[in-house]
Amino acid sequence: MQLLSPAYAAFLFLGILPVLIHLHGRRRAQVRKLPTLLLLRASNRRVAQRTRLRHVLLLLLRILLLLTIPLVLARPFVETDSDLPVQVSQTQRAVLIFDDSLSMMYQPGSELTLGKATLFERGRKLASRIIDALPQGAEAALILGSRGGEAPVGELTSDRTRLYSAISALRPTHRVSDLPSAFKRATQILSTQRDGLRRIYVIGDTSAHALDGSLHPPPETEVSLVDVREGKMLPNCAVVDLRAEPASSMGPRAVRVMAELHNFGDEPVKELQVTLLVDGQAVAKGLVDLQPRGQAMKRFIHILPQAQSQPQTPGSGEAQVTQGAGLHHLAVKLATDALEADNARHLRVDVQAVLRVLLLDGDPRNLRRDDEAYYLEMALRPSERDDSQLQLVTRSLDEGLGSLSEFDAVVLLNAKAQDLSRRGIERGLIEYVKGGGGLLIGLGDNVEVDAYNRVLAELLPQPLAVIKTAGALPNHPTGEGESSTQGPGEHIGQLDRHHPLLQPFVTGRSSESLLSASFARYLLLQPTPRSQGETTAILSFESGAPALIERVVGRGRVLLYTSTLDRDWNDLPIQPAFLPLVQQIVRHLSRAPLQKAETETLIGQTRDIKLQPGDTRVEVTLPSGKTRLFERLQGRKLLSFGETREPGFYRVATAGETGVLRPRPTEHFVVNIDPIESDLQLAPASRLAALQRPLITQENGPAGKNPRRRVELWHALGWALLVILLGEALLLRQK
Amino acid sequence: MTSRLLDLPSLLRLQSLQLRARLVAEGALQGLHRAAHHGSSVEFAEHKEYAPGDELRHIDWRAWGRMDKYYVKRYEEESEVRAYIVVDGSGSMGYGRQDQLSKLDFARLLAAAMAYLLLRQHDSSGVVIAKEAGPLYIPPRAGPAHLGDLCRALEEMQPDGRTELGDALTLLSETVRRRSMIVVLSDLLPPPPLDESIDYSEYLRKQSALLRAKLVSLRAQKHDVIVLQILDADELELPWTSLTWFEEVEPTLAGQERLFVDPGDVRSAYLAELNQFLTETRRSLREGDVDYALVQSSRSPESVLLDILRGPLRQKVRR
Repeated sequence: MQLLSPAYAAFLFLGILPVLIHLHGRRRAQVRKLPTLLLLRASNRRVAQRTRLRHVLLLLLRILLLLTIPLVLARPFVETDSDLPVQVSQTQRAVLIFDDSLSMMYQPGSELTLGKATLFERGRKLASRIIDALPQGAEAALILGSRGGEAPVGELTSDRTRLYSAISALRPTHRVSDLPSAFKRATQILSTQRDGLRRIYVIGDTSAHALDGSLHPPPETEVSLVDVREGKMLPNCAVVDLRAEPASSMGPRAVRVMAELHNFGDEPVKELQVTLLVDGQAVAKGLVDLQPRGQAMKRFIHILPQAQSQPQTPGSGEAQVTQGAGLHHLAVKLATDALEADNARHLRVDVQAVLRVLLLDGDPRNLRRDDEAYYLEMALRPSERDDSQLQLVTRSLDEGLGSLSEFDAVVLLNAKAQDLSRRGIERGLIEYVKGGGGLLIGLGDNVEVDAYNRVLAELLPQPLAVIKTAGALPNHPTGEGESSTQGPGEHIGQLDRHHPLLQPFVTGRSSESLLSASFARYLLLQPTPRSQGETTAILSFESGAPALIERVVGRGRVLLYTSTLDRDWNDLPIQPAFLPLVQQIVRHLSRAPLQKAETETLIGQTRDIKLQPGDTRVEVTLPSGKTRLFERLQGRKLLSFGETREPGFYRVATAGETGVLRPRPTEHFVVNIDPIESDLQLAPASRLAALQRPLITQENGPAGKNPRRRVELWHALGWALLVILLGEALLLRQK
Repeated sequence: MTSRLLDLPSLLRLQSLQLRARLVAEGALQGLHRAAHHGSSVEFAEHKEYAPGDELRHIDWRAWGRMDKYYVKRYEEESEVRAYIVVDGSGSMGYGRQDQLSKLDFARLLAAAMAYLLLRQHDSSGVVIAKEAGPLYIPPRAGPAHLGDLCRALEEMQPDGRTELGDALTLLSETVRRRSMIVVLSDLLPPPPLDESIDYSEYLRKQSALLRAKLVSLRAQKHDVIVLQILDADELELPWTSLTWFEEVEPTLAGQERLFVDPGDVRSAYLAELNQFLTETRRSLREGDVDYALVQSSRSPESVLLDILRGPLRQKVRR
């Protein structure tokens, strides 16, 4: 033990004072005669033992008290081997990169002899000790090592108080580590100083994923890796992927949930409990065995409840998931382990509601196969099951329009313009679409270009021009006003792969049959001035002419298919792509959520929230229940939400001009962690050696010798002093 | 009304015990007159055959009717009082704070005052002084001149030696045959033990029980026994706070004279022990029909005497 202020140690002799006072007091004690001494002797004999013990304790405490005071003032310390990997007691400019990524939340068990503190807490202590050990005059900065992490102390400073407060204010995040960016920033900070030793301390778990090959230490700068895990292996299991798909054989609301589980440890994991949660409630459990560094797929089949507003699970603390049309929050959770944050993964699932579709047949036939609606009916309802998700109603124009409010989408098939205007059908369709309905217009021989452009001007995405014949149609002469191009027919040449309608066709194989369909005839469209509103060509022919074009009208939308929906002008109805295409069109028109694998949003990524015309405010409710409000959004189509800091289910509510916030389930989304953070495999020793850049100098001391650290004892002695005072007071009270 | 009781400093200035006793007694009598009179008429004691000179109003006419003889009623107040005042002269009675009466001073003043009152009404009173060397006995006599003898003996008495109150009581028990009044003025503290291995509590209990037994036996002999246990405030409170060597007052074994103790450490236990001792004394004496009072020596002797006159001596002393 050594002393910082040894002069005070001279006062240790004061420790003998209580003994001297005691002896002096005994000698100088008053002498009194007492007739009742017999009574005093009797009572003293009863309490003598206890009294003597109390006096001895008091004497000892007072001796200790007088020994402790000079000791505290002398500020004793001991020097031990430091667990800091480097000697930090040199004048230097240092940047501390603190890894606050998800893996730092790891809480080792007792078997690892790392204590009960999380890696993050251990790192924070090490960071404080590095600041402690920096000599007077040394400057330091503190930046975070996670993606998107800020710099708590973004410039070099010798203000220790600021550094300590910044360290104590650090909090673990769910972000992924991004040391290359942190190194870049550290280099910038250090570049402001030319002189002195420059050093970067990386305080983290030294996992392989964080120290990959993309990380290059900056030149002329020492790099010290401060390993908070002390080189120990850290076992961990995680849910790395979660998907769901319809389990149609089990019913319309059945989903198959597939969770991919990984064991990132070197020991097998037996009977790991996996729980499926739907809307915050556990609905199924299973057990999984995982091989060392192995993976497994856990499948659940679950029939989701009917779409409804579910109350919050009592005591769960989980935010209520307001259900839209079949919207559910699915999560798979593992039994608790050392890294809790990656034990759950979330998924948003839309269960398709029953869609009601009206087919307005403009060319009904007695022979069903010749009917315009035949192929469409077949595609929309491939089987006659009772649980079909589509309800089809086919009407001829002679039957009139009836009430359209009960339908989610209307398909107008090869109708004559005069039939539409004669029965007022066109007015009904315009009101329906403007009110939010979806309309698909299929063309054919009954379509007269001029009459159509006149009657359906408010609905057509672009005015019709002329019929183009790209190939020979058997028994079908070229009519007046038709172009006379002859050939083998035309094919679809361009797909708007970003359009949600074409989601099933984004891969090459699934789009093959769509692209192979041959079109002998279709209608060309006139160019449209921009003032008529935006149109989107979803499918285009090889010639560039639109095959399927969309226009938003009022609150609804219209799709114009420039050919026939039967086999009169093309052979698409007999192609495999016809069924998914038609189903997607109907779902798109009805605004039914598309059953597709939604692109996953990871922690820290920006989520685009689509806005509708009239939206003025958006409120996003985070999984923790906190809300974020965005205002003055008039005229914007997208809101980029970047506060995806916590995993879970995010709810979106929007407000129009009335200002009343209403949930918009179609924009609800989930955020998951990046599974790369779950793998805590230690970086290879060669990689660690390559990254460490100690510039050996004489100040560093002999090579191979452990650095020393000073452990000050006076804090503990100060506490001991308080305890002694308290003990003395208690003993005195017992008189 | 201004109190006529003498204050203690004034009393201490008087050298003569006789004078002091007279002042105390007169003061007490005046206090008695001032107090509301709650006593009943004198009590009937016995019949006596009429003799010339007896008052006619005391003739019992009913007895004459039954026995055809004249009998005169005699009353208690007219009985001759013979009093023995026992004063403890052991070393422990010499204790007292500076500028205060010691327990012995207090006892002899009370004794002299009571003797004065009794002699004043032509009763007889004697004194027994309990000493280690043996009791000093002054037999009861009537007449004012006897007061001087008593006061002289009391004044000459010095507190020393071990308590031997039991011997004095034995002496009375053996010599006094006629029904008398015996007043005991003592601290009733037993002498220190002569065996160092003894259990002090047990010793105290046994010695006290022996003494109380003798007092009760006197009462059993039809004597009126009045015990005034005189203790100093220091003994009742143990008021000191610093480490103290406490010494025995009465002679004891070598090596047992002193006890080094912090009074604060033992105060609770001491007071509990004292309280038990006093309670037991009071209980057993009252059970034996012995009048008992605990008197603190710092009190005014007149007020103590006044209490006695209103209590045990109510019918013995005429105003």
